[in-house]
Amino acid sequence: MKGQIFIKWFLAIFIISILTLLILSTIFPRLFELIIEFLSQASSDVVASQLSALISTSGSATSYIEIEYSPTKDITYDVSSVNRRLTVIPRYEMSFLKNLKAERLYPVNLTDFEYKNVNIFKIKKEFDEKSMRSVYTFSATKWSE
Amino acid sequence: MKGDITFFTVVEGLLVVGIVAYLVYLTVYARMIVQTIVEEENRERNALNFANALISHEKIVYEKEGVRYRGILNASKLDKLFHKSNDGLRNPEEFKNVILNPLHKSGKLSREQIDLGYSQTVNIIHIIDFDRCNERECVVWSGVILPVNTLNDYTQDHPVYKFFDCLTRSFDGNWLRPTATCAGFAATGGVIGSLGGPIGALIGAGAGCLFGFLSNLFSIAEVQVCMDRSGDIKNLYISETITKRQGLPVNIIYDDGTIHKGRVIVGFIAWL
Repeated sequence: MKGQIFIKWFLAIFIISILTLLILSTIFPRLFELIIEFLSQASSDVVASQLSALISTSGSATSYIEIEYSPTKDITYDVSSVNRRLTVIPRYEMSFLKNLKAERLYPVNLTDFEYKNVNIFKIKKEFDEKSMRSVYTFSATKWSE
Repeated sequence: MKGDITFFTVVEGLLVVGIVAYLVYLTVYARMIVQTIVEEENRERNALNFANALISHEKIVYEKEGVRYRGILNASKLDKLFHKSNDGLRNPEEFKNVILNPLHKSGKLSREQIDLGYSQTVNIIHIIDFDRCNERECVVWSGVILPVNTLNDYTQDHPVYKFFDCLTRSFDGNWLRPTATCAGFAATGGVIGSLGGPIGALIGAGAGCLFGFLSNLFSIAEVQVCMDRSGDIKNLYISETITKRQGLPVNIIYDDGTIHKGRVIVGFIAWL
């Protein structure tokens, strides 16, 4: 009698454990994936890296190129550049994430700029026939629904 | 009886196997996620981006009827901008006097001449014409892009000036030492060498040496002394990327319309 009750309990716990494991094995990876996807797209380090790479890449165009980059709708950034050094600071709501500043360099002749609270970035390169030089411009706006 | 296989034992065993399998699965899955996060060395990426922007730059590319051709370099423009060597800078004195010597203005480029370059970085550029590179001659255009707006800013007080001045003084002209270690730059020799047989391989090794000059021509102690004397140059970083070892393939077009195969090799010296 005692043994039968034990087996019933054991089977119940076993089945619940298996079901829980199955659910978690689906939920956890998806959760990890979402967190990693969010961090990889929105972290200041990645945004700075992508932006500096896109600015540099615009230099590879011989005449005209326009690039638009929007890493995320959910977070905005303070972006500035001084002497070809790009700085990106995300505006996270969580206080402990506020000072995640990232810096990257770029090699092209883009004049210094500063934008606050933005998440859409535009880079333009065009060739000025008068001065016979490439002219780079950077602008940024905030995503609006 | 003790030792009998019961239903209980089987379930227990299956449970253990299941948990172990699940843990293995989780570990492998986590590893796969981690592997997808590529940690790129920013400066290596900088060197590649720079090289790509360089081969599109209006100051060096071939232009016809308002169209500029990426990767096709105009030999006349190169003559105006860079120092041209007919023996591939294989002569130690020329290397010392042109590349290292801060007083030698030919081939030294400020942002006024070519508006490419990162802050706190020196780019050493070599453009090799393979169709004019053999045992008799080797046409190479060389230049050093300095992080200054005009060459007037490149004075004795500038840390880069102090650094190169110190290296020039340390240079003993011993070409044998770097040649011996050129084997380490076999990647360049291999790629360039494949274009020109054994001579090409030698040239390739030579080109590799040009860019290994800090590690081959100077000891770590010598470089450290020069960094200290420069004042501001700390944590020197010398690119090891493909742009330095193998370069980017280009074509070089001369005024008579002939097109030669070439390669742009970019050395990247950055500091904090």
